[in-house]
Amino acid sequence: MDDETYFTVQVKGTAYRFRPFETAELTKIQTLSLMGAHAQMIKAAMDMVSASVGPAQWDALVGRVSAGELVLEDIVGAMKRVADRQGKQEKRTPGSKGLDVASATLVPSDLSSESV
Amino acid sequence: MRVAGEIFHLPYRPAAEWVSALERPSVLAALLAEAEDRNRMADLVAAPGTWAVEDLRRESLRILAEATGRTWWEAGRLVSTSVDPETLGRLVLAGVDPWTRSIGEWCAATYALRLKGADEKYRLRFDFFLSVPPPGEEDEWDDGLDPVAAAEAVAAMKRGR
Repeated sequence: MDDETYFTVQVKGTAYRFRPFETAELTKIQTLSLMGAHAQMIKAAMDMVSASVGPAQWDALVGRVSAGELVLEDIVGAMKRVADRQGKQEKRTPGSKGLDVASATLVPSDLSSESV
Repeated sequence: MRVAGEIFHLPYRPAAEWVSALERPSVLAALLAEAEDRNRMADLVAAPGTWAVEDLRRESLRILAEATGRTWWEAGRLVSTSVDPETLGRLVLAGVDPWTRSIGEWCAATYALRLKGADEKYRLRFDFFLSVPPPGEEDEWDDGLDPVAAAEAVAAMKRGR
């Protein structure tokens, strides 16, 4: 984490500060992605990013989307980078489970093929 | 099946569709549902303050167990085994068509194929590999044996009684 509270991520030339995401929200977004429910996934992701960056930065991001400078995928990409860094940070913390929202699959290792 | 208090009915799907959907086992039930139901499940997952994510995962694993007559991890391992190129090739040569067979039949065929001609040692290893519960499911591995009684019995055997 960049300091105690935030992750700083660049979105097309501008840096934004993200508060860590709620694990339950990340799980929800990952589940929607796995279901192929793109409309619901994008909406949930935008809600989570909005809560994470706060009103001022969110207004700036929306303004750049309206101006055609950004597309929603840029914001989703930033969200994935934050989630990745958050996951790495939590894996380094003893006792934490870690997050891996960037991973598109959720196949438990126990279901993987094993030769006998 | 029930997600966030709502009841859904899943249509029959052949084994081929189950095998494909099992690449994402935590949302298996949604992938097997009709499109309209899948969209409704997504709305429930996206809604704030529900347990839909956990409901969907639990129900997905439950229907896998129910459809195959095995624990979900046994079924998952058999499906993983079935798509191993050698096993899949032998299933195809044996005429087992995943588009006309149920997932239960597909798992049974895979199991039978892997044990065909196998000796007792291999059979035990394979059964053990299938049955070991994944983390968090150890409680399901109940063989009815009281661990305290078992420990006492082993101790008694060691003492030669």
